[in-house]
Amino acid sequence: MLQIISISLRNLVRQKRRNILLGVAIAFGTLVLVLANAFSHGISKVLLERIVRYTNGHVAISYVRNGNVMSQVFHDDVKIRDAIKAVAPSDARVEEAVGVFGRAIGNGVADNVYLVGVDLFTEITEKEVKEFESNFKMIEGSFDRLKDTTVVGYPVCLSKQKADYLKLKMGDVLRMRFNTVRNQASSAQLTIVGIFKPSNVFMSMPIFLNLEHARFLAGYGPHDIASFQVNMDNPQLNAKKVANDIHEKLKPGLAVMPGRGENNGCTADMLTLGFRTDSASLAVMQKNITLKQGDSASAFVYNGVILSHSLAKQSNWKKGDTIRFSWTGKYDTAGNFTRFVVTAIADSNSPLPQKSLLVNEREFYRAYYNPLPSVPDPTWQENLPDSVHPLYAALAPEYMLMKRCNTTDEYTKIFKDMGRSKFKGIMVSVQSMYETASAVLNVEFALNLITLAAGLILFCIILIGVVNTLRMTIRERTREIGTMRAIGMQKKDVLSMFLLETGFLTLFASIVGTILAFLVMYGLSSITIDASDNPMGMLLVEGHLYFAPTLAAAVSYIVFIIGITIFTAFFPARRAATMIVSDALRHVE
Amino acid sequence: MKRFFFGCLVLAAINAGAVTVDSLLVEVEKTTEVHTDAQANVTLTQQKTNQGTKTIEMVWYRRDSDDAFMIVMIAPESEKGNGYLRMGENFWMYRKNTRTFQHINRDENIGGSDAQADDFEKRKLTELYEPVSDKDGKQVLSEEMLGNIPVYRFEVKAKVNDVDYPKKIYWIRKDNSLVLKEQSFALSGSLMQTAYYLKYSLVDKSYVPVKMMFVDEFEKGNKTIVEISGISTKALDDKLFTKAYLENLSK
Repeated sequence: MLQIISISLRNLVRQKRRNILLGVAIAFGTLVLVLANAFSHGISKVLLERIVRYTNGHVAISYVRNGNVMSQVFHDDVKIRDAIKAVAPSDARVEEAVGVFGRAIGNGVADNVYLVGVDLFTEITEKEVKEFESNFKMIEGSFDRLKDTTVVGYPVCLSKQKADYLKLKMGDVLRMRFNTVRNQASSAQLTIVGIFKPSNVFMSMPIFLNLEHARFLAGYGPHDIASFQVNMDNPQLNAKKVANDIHEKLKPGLAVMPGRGENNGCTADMLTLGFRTDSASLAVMQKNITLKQGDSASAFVYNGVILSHSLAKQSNWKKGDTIRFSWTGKYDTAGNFTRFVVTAIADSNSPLPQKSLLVNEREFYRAYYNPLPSVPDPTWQENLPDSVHPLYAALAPEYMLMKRCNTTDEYTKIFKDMGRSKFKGIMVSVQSMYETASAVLNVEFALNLITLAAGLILFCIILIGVVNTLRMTIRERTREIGTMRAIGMQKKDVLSMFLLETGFLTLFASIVGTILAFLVMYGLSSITIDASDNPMGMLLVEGHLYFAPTLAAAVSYIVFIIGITIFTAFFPARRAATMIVSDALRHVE
Repeated sequence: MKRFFFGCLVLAAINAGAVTVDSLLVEVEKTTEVHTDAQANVTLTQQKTNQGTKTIEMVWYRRDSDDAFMIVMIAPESEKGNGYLRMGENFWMYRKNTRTFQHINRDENIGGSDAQADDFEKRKLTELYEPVSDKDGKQVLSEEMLGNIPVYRFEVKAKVNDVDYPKKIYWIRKDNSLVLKEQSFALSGSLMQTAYYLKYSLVDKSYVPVKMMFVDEFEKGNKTIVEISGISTKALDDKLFTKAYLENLSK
C-alpha cells in the first residue's frame, strides 16, 4: 500500500501545472464554504450572545399580569429565587430585568423611551465589563454616576441619538411619564449623567438608570420581582435543561386565602378561594355544586360569590350579605381587607371546602396579590381540595404556568395567548433562548443551506474539471498502466492509485483553502465599519465583521469535499483499472 | 358642667349636618348614575402637539340589565366599521378589514384614543377612592368659588391599587353635586391631567356630562374634548349586543 501511496504522490508532482490549477479550484470552493459557514455561525452567535442574551438571558422567567404583557411582575420573589437556586448550575448568574416604557419630554420635544435598570452593585466578570463597554462607548460622563445621590431626580445615561433627538445634553433634566406595573400613572424627573454611543442602532433606545431606582419607579414592592434572566457559562449544554427544571419546580398550587370574615357583628375564620370563569370551569362548578340559596345565573357567572353551607350556617350569613374579608400577608403582616357580596349559598352536599367562600377570579385576584396571603396553617391545609377533588380543575391557581415551547413561533403564540387570555391572575413563562430565539438558529441553518447549495454548484463545475483531468491523465498514462499491470499490479491497485491521487490533491487543496479562508476572515474582520446608525450594525462586533469558524465545520467540509471528488474520480479510475493489458500496451497517442 | 354638655350637643348637631368627603362622593355617584339602557353619539377631538387635531366619532350602546356595552366607530375613515363589544367579562375588538374578533385586555386603548378598556368597567367611585386627611386628621375639604360658581373642593386617594391615578382633587357644585373640575395626580405627586366638565344634560333624573375637556398637564398642548349627543334611554334590543350585529354593521 505504501508503494501505491508513493506512486500516487509522485504522479501528483509529475503533472504540476494541471494539478495546481485543479487544486486552486478546489481550494477556492473550500474557502467559500468555510468562510460562508463561519460568517453565518458568526451572525447567529452575535444575535444569540450579544442581542438575545442581553434582552432575554440564556433562560428567562417572565410574567404577564392581567393580560398585559408590559406588566412584568411576580409577587413572590422567594419562590422564583428558590426554584432557580435549586436547579441552576454553580456558574449561573441571575439578573433581574426591570424595564419601564413611557414618554419623555426633553427640551421642547417628546419621544417614547424605555427605561432599563442596571445592577451596579453585583460584581461582573472582566469579559462582561469589556462586552458592556464595547456595546456602550461613553462620550461624556460614566455609568458609575448612576449611583450619584446628589443629582436632581434620578441619574440616567442615554445614547447620543436619543439625547440629540430630545435636544438634551449632560446635566439636563428630562421628565418622563409612565405607568407602574399596577398600571397606575406616574412620572419622574431624570438627570443626564452620561451620554454613550451604542454599538448598534437598536441599543440607542434604552435609557439606563440604577436598578433600585427603576424598581422603585416601576412600583415594585420589596418582594415583587420583574422578569429574571439566568445566564451560564455553557448555555448550549445547560440552558434547556435549566429551563425545564425551573419549569418543573414552579408548578403552581391552588390560590388560597386564609383570613377572617365579618358581617352583621358576626366574625368567622374562613378560607377564600377563587374559581375560574371560563365556560369550561363554570360548567364544572355547575355540575358539582348544588345551591341552597341563589340560582345558577347568580352563582356560576363572572361575578359570582358562593358561600359554603358550613360557613353560612355557622355565621348566619345569607345571600346578598356583604362580607368584609381581612387577611395577613405572606410577607406583609399588616395585611389588607376587601368586601365580597354573596350571590349564592351552596347546600351541604356540595364538595366545597369547610368554611369557605368561592369568589369569581376577577374579584379574587384583585385581592389575592394585594398582598399575597400567608400560607394556610395545617388545619386549613387538610381542608384544601387536592388534585383529584371534583372542583380542582375549576379553582383558581396561584398563577398560571405556561407550557414550554420549542420554537420562536410557538413562543410568540404563547405570548399572544397570554395577552389575550381572560385569566385574571399572573401567567408565568419559563423559556431558554434556544426556544425563544430558534428563529436565529433557523437563519443560520438557512444561510448554511444556501452556502452549501452555492458550494455544490461550484463543486459541480470543479468536479467536471476533476473528471476531465483524470480522463486526460488516464489517456496519457495508458501504456504506463499497461506496463504496471503486465509486471503484476492488480486491478484494485490501479483503482486505488488513481483514487489516492485525487484524494491527496483534494486534501492538500482543501487544507490550503481552509487556511486561505482563515486569512480572508482575519483580513475582513480587521476592517473597521461605522454602522452605528444602520440596523445591520447589530451584526458587527465593535465595528468589525464577526466570523465564528468551528473546527468541526471545517473538518466536515474537507471530508465532504474529499468524499465527492473520490466518488467522481471512481468511474474514470475504474475504467483505467479494467483496461485489457495488451490493448493498453499497444495504445499509441 | 351643664355648659360643657350643651356645647357638646351644639357641636354634635352642627357635625350631624356637616358635609364630608364621603357624603360628597356618594352624592356624585347618585347624581350621575344611569339606570337605563342608553345610546349616544360620542365625538372625541384630540389635539396633540406637533400632530394636529384628530377627530374620532363613535356610537355607544349600553344595556343596563347586564352592563353590556358596544362601541361602533364612525370616523375617521381608517376606523370606520371597527367596533368593541363587552358582554360580561368578555371584551372583544372587531376589525372590519380582517372581519375578526379579538379579545382585548383591560389595559388596551380604545379606538386610538387614550381611553382604556377598563374605563368602561362599572366600578363605583366610593369603591375606588377614599378621603385624604391632613396632618390633623381632618378631611381635605374646602369651600371655594370656581369662576362665579360656589363649589366644594376635596381630595381623594385610591384605596385600591388598580386605578389609573392614585390621587384626585374634585371641584363639585354646592347646589347639585355635579363635578365641574377634576385633577388627577401621578404616584409621584405630579399633576397629570385636568378634566373640565363643561356641560351636563338631565337624562332620566340623572345628570350626564355631555361636554368634557381633558387637558394633558404633563405634555403641555395636548388635550381631548369629548362631546356626547343624541342620548336615548329607550330599551335596546338584545340582538344589538351580539358579534353578528357588530359584524353586519360594517358590511
